Amino acid sequence: MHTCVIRHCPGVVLLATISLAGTAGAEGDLKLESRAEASLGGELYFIDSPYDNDNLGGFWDQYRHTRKKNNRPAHFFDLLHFDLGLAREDDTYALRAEGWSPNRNNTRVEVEGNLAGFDLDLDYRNYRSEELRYFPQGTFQDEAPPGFSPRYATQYTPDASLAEILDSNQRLWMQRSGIRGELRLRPEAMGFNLPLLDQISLRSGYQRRKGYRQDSFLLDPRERTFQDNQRFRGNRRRVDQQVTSVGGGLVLTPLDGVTTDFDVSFESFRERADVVTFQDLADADPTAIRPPSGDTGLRAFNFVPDTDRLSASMRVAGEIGAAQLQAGGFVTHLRQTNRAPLQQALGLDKQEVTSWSAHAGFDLKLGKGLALTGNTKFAERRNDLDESYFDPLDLPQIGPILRRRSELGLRLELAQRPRPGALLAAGYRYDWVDRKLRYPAAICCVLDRPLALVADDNQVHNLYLRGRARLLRRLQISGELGWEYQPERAYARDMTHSVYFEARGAYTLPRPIPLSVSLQGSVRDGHGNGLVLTGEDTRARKDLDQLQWSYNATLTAVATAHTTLSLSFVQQHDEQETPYLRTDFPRTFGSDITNLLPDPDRIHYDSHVESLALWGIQNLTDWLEMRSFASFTWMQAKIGGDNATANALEAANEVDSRILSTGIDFGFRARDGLRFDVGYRFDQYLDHHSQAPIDPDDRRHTLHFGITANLDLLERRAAN
Amino acid sequence: MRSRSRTFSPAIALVLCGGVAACVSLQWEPIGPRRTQPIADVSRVGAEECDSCHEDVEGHDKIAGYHADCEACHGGGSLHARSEEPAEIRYPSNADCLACHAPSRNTHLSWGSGEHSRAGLLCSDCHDPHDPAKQHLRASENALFANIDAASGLCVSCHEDVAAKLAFPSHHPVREGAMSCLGCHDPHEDRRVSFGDRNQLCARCHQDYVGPWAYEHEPVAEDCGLCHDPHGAVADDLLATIQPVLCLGCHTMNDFAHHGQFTATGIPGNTQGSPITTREARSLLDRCTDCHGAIHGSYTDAYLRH
Repeated sequence: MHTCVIRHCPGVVLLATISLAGTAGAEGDLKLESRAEASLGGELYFIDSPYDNDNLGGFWDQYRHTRKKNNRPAHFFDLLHFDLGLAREDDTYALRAEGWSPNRNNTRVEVEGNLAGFDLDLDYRNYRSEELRYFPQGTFQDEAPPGFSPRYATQYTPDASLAEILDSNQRLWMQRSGIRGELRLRPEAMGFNLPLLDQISLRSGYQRRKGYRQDSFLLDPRERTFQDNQRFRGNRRRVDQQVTSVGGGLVLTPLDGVTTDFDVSFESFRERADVVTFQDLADADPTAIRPPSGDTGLRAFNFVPDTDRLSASMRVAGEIGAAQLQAGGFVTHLRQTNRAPLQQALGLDKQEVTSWSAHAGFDLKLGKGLALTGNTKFAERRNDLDESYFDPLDLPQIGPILRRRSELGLRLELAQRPRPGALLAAGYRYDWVDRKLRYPAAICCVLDRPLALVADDNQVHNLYLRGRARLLRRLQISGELGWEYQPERAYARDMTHSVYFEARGAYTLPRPIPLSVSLQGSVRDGHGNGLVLTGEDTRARKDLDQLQWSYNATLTAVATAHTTLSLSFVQQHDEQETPYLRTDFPRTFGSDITNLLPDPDRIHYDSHVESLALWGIQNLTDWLEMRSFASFTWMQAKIGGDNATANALEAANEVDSRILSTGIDFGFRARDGLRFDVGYRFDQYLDHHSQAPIDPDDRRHTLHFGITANLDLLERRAAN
Repeated sequence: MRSRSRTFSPAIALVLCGGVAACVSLQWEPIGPRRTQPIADVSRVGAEECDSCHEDVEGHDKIAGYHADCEACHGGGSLHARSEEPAEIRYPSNADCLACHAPSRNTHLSWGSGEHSRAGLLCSDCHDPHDPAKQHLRASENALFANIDAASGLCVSCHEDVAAKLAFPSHHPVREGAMSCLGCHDPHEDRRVSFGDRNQLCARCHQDYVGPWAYEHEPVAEDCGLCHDPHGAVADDLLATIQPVLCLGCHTMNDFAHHGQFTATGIPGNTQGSPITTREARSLLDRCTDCHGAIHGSYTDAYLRH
């Protein structure tokens, strides 16, 4: 069995073994045949400097973790894939366990058991991801070493010397390991004749998350010493989280043709890592941070609350005459179970959020291909925050508290199906959101409603036409054209008017070679009329123009009986323009604001992505298969404008990068049930914007190899 | 917008031309391989008669027992058996599949109004009932996605725009096989009537971002999608737009807290080291979240700095 599974997930093995025995016993009168296939192999990595250093995470480590990069070459060797099971005569499985491990710390195992009336699913995953962030030497981590300051590095913070950045292990990563399982029992199939009850399900899950995240923050003048360049601080925060969940459900048939589903679940989330307080930080760096006084030292940095979540849902669906009806409801209650140090000191306990929703829908056949469908949904989120939290310690609540958010959605669509495969429909959608925003009383400062960036209400009306048709036997097209109108907007980034169009076409050509072409495109063009901010003597509008479009074209051909080729091209574009608003004081100063400076600053944002991909699969001989691919992605995002501010932004915040991956694999079938694979892969990430020593350019070569044995085929061959 | 005409035209022209061309050439042709309507005056001939010609079906010589009655789904085969004409046997409709797979189960309760149903998909577009593969999923060959799980491989074979985003620098690890599209999406259901508010889905994996917080960031409480593109993004952390543009789309910048001139010696394109004299320059040169690090919520700071 896979080493990772044994190390991290003995439960999977145990349950699989028990289920295997149970299955074999239960189906003792059936002929079950064992199946087993396994691939053993590995990878050798040749990584360019400086990311051939185990202390430094590169671009390609973000999603494909490489362990012990200091080795020459770095390598990975493991059971890449296994597939074990007991199959019936019709090739369906009574029990099956399949696992994959394409690289280090990326494992998934799925176990599926299936007997008459008894279904078991188990799913185990272990995956490590990484973040591309950089810390300077001496970054505060749990306990700062003497003489070092807790700082962090970005390109332009004056606190960090860039030369200090590429130091001992400061990688930021997160490893998620977890297992979850579900058992479904269908009494009727098990021989029990229970009225109403169709299915009982029980499920449970556990996940552990370990790693490090970046915390970065800014000290205000009261918190720091006189050095202006010691404001920016960071912390490599340890993460150690556990999520445990249990749940169950029932499926009932109260009436003929009516199905009802009930579900209840409970989830516990716990953060085990130590809490870092302001006092800890001041103790570690007294030269930069003023000693806190009283309870201010209890302020925690990026405190993550432990929570319990209890959820329940119900759905019902059925047919009445020509109408299909469905309805449902849901409620979830999220409760904080531990307290931040400051909360403890204040004795404040009430911190809960409750959400619920109810929905109903119908699909009514009106005859002659005409149908009317519709649904409505109401959802509400209620925050039961104890507002007295803010009063005693001069902790201002500068923004409004979102006490309650209520949302109502309505949708209606009339569709005509003139011919099979063809459809023409017109629809209307309406969404309304009502917010109960509580503006707390001022202590030192408080935000006025005229300067808030979120509105009490917003509404969206959406009219659309959509259609689908099969033309000329082998050409399919579909599309939707719509208009959205928001007479009331919630956020400055919401559109007042927008028009969108989405289309898709596919054409297949059987001769001279089987060829399929698909083309997909979408465009959305909108404008947001200004969200108006009002100061003492001044008003400013926050407009937004946005244009997004994308398309992709794919051509796939079966060039010969043994060769499949595919070529695809994708282009995506996002263009935005919005006024850049400056104020002379923070918005929390309310009527003291005498200057809102909207003009002539306008920020223009322009993002382009183009991606070209080519792949092919070719059977060179009966025993040799070749797979090859190449993909190239260009990404560019620029900020521009008409004045110095915009120019500064343009220079500093650009994205200009390329991703190139190409590879070739050969699969050699030595005999029935035995296969060898060998391949090469080249990956390159080029960043044309960042500069040394923060230089994310990362290039690596990978050689991989594997041997796959299908034990059944080998056994049969040996028997013959 | 400055460059709208330049950038707008190629894509719009392409999409619109395709749409117009399709509309003017609209011809209602009989549906060939997808014909799912019942055929009149047919009777059953039995699976053995079918097997006499169809030794294997789509490459599979064994059919799962519960799918072995060919005419239960394809209708009577008497005409087809005589003529051997493909047009004289029907293909299963969704109703044929749902007759067994919907009653007494909770997997298709809102299928009728779901996106895939409205888009006119047949069950057989994704499932091959003749194939003993897990959930009878059709195999999708794509050498680019070597590690993707079977279901997600099938999804991205149609959702090519999403497939492209899964290769962006910041993405959920679907192509790496660590996540599945099914982790967030249920292809059989209607997402418009999903449970609760918009963040319930994200909260299933990102508990550490949902609080509850003493100091909330309103968009976080309302909809993660206001800032993040879950499939993939050019910007870090799945942000739909790079910082600070994303933040400045809503926020103003005040001189009181963000002032400070900066000699931008390290800025690309500013090799002369001339000072950036704009008052807010230093704030704008870094990501907003470098200082407002607790952007999802905080217990200690109204400005979401920690």
